[in-house]
Amino acid sequence: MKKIAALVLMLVMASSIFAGCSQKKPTGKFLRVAKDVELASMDQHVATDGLSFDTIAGTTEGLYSMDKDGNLIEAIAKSYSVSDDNLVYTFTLREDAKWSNGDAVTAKDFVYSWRRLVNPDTASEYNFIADVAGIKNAAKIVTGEIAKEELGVKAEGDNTLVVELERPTPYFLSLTAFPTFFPLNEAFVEEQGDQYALEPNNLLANGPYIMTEWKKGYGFKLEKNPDYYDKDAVNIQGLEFRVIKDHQTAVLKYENNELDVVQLTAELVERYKSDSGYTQIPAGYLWYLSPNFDVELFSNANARKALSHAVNKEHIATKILNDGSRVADFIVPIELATGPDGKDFRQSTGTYCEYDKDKALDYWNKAKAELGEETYEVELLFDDFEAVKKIAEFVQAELENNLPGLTVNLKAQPKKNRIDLMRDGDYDLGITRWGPDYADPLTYLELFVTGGINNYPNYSSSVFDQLVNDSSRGSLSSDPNGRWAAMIEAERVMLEEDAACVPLYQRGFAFLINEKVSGIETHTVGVPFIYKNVKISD
Amino acid sequence: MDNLAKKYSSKAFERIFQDEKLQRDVVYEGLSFWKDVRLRLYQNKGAVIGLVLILVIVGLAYIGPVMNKHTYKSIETEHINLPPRVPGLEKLGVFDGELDGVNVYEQQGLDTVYYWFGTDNLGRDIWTRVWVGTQVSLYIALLAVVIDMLIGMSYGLISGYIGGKVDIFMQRFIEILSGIPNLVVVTLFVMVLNPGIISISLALVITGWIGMSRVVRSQVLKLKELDFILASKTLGSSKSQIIFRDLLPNIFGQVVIMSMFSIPNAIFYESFLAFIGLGLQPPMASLGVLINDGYKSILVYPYMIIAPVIVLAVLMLSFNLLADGLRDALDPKMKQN
Amino acid sequence: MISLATLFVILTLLFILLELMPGSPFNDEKLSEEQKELLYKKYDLDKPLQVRYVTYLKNVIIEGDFGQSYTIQKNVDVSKLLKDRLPISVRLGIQSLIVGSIIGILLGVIAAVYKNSKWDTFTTIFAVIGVSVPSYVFALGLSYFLGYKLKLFPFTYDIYSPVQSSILPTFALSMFVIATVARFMRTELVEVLSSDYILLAEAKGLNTKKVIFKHSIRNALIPVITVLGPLTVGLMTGSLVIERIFGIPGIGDLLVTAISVNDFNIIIGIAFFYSLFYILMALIIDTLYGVIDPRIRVAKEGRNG
Repeated sequence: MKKIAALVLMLVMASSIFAGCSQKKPTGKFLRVAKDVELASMDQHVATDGLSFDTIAGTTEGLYSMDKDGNLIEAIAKSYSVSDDNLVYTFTLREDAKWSNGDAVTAKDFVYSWRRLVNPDTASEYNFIADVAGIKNAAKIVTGEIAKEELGVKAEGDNTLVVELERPTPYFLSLTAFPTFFPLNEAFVEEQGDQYALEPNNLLANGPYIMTEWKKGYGFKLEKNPDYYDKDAVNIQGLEFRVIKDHQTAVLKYENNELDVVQLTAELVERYKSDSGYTQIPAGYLWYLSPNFDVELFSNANARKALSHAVNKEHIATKILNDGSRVADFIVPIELATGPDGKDFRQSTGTYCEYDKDKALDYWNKAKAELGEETYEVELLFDDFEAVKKIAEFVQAELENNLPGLTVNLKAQPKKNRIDLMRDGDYDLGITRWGPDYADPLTYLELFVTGGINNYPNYSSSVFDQLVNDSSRGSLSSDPNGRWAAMIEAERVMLEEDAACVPLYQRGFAFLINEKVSGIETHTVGVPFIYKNVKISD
Repeated sequence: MDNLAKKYSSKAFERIFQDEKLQRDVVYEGLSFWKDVRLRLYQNKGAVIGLVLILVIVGLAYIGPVMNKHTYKSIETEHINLPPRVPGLEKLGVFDGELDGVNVYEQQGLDTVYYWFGTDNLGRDIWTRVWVGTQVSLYIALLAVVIDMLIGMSYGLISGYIGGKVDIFMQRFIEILSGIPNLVVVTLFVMVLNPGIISISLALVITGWIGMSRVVRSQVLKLKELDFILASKTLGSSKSQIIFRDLLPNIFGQVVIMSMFSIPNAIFYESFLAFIGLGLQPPMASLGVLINDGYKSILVYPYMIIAPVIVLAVLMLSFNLLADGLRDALDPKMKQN
Repeated sequence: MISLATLFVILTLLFILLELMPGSPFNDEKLSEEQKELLYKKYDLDKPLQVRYVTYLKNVIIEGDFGQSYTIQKNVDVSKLLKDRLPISVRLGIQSLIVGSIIGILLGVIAAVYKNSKWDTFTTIFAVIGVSVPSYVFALGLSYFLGYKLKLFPFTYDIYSPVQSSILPTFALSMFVIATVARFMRTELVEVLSSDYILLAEAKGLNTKKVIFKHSIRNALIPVITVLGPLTVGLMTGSLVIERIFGIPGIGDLLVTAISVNDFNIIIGIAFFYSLFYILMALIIDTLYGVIDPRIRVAKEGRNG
């Protein structure tokens, strides 16, 4: 018995020593990034999450791309012109862009890709974005009413792409930087069939990097693309992504200099906030409290207003999260959209529901007088995602302290169920979030239109609806200034007059990024991370 | 006959009168079974220590939360992430409010503030939360043992002793139960039931007893072929008599150990349930939940996890010492020692 | 035959249960009803339950096709995902089983032989700590001290040196095995050592070593094997926390993630293998009972029954 045991132990030890010697780490300048999620898909019409979009944008380029400040820069497109009624865009494409199989990137690749996007057979989760972009016939093709060939996009020769819109869409150009609108090489994609994008060799690249390795669940590797038209701008040999779901392990690996980029949880920030690699990255996600209008208490406007002033958001942002999250006294996030005046939306508006205990109490007393009861009990619904439990606990304490007579019970649910409950209106008060789909205030404002599927509060205001409709499809869509003003007013009506929801914070992310690394570009909307210009100094 | 009588002279005999030195059986004071067990338990040093520790922890679980002005859910926004500090002990260099060499209390100007186990990142008193959590975990420990004993043990006894088709059927049932991922069943639970103690109990009932039933079954399989069972049967014992009077005392050792494993399993399972929303609803805490939450900041604020882990470990150790003693006291074979 | 039926029942039940899960496998936060309809159509999820069930069974039995992942690794075949990940989990499980039982048995034997000595106390305390300190705390501790501070071992899994980088996770996983095996071994061995036939063996003049290794351990193994069975299945199908902490692409984490995002085909696929392992293990254990102790008869109409 003992002998066998010893033998086995020795074998294990011996083999481990040999295994240790046999492998060497690849050398060269690779950016090593830890991620806590797996790469879900490399197919731009299947992908829905940030990491997938990052990686697709790392290997493929569309008409335009974004620079580090979120401004559009030319990529495959050299230039564009637009008709006077803002309905026809004509893009001229560069001639030297190539796919990694040697084919040139042509206007046909865009036509194929965009048709594939709206094709009901593709069933892309992002197919709605074609209609958001205003591309002619997109909505009807998605529902199967007309054929995909009717889509308002055509190639005139290899290097001219003409796009017809249904209505003027101010943010159309910025959407062309979104991976969903990137080109696809028809011959290659069709040849691969249902295997397309499942493995590195089922993929083509036309961008700065090319995928060379993809170990599902473990990580993947991008290497510099030798066929990229702008390859001289790419400074590093590639990127190595590693899936590590435990942030504390990732951080230890970072300290050991085995990783260059790791994300920090709120708990870890405290330890690293004076570290030289500590970096805060703003994100577009906005978290808010959603009161259910169909609950008697929250059908009262004063009760909702009391709610909207009762939570110390500063404490949430700086003490509980402490990762660059910002107080949100608004529903349209900072740095989401730039108006016709060149200023950020937030710079042209007020803030609406700032923390003010006394105000909250005033409204609360009014509400109590109107409703005629002294004590109320509500349930606060949440799911434990991104440390929301702590926020729920804090909100509970704040509401109970600042609004006397209110009892808040917490109800945690799995996320899928939480969303079901909120959609069905089967809750009192819920914590939820929204991430922007495109760089326009509408991506948030449209949530709260009467009957909207994500209108969790079941808010309904004809004034608000009118303002939002006018600025999306209605009379104001070709009047940029009037439209901007209407959206500013819509947000005010919704938050100041009706207190339709209680914004809490705009998410930020804390990272540790190796000091030697520079040039990682981050965006709150569109592609979260662009790695093209990464530099690693010696 | 006469010859034989002659051999012994009458002098060899002494007459005894009834009230004189009549040789009587020494009749010890009648000990009931349980009194006997108790006496033997008290002789076992480990068991006594275990018992005392359990009493202390149970006492603290109920007295601890009222020993300061904080409640398990009161939030002091100015007092977040404070390390442990105890008056008196701080002079000895432990519990002095220092973290990484910095006295956090002095740094924040909280000279007169003391949190014995520190505070968490919402500014709640960990001392209070640990003891409130201990109450919950004690309940869960008790529940786990009861489920083990009631369901697991009977299931194993019946399956093992009756054998044959019944055994096959009962074992396949266990396989089906184990084959379906717990989390699926529990997620469905969350939708139907309101979270709370009842749902925790139900979730534990579904699968908590399987390990116990398997151990009991294996023991019964081993014992039922032995001679003393045959003897008992020959003497006309009924099935239930054999199961409960003959088999049960003999498998008690394994049962006790298995319970020891089910207690922490149940406590951690509860914190897992809390994580997906079926357990206790926050801000209520249990030891498992506190350990889970503390883990998230273990590299930054290790003290947050140390207190609940130590309480749990001590609780477990004392349960074990007591259980070991109890087993020895109950086991008829150990009587001579 | 019976086992096949059990497997079938498990799959059927699981199919029905998953049907009741809240939400869809897709991004419920953003999707409209129309989009969901399209997606359901694409993946044939719009068909009635019984039709999908029959198709699924047919695919599994005839082609070994477990369908595709809907969310985690979109459109990748589940059988391919499992082919990559299952061996990693199984290997790690077997490694920790071997390490754990060897150390556990040794500790248990020492504790039983030197009953009530300080060795015994040590084993008890070790076992108690082994079960009451959660495995993730222990795993991170190993990572931190042996991996990060002392740099003895790599503290995350590395596909290119699977053996060396699996040392820490193996030990972290085997902690619970050690505790379990040691405790059961000790209790049972104490009982065996005080029984008459051991007295006889000693009286015959056999030396202690021989008594323990030839006559006692074998008889004390039954409860150990009983608890090891399900434990092995648990080990081989991966541990959520160990996989997360060491960055191991196994199936433990995959299953939990799949359940939280309703990636049905992955859930069923993993549950299938889990059940298969469990049933095999139960069979093996019942057979082993008879090997270890020929008096034990399982699932036969016992004389005494």
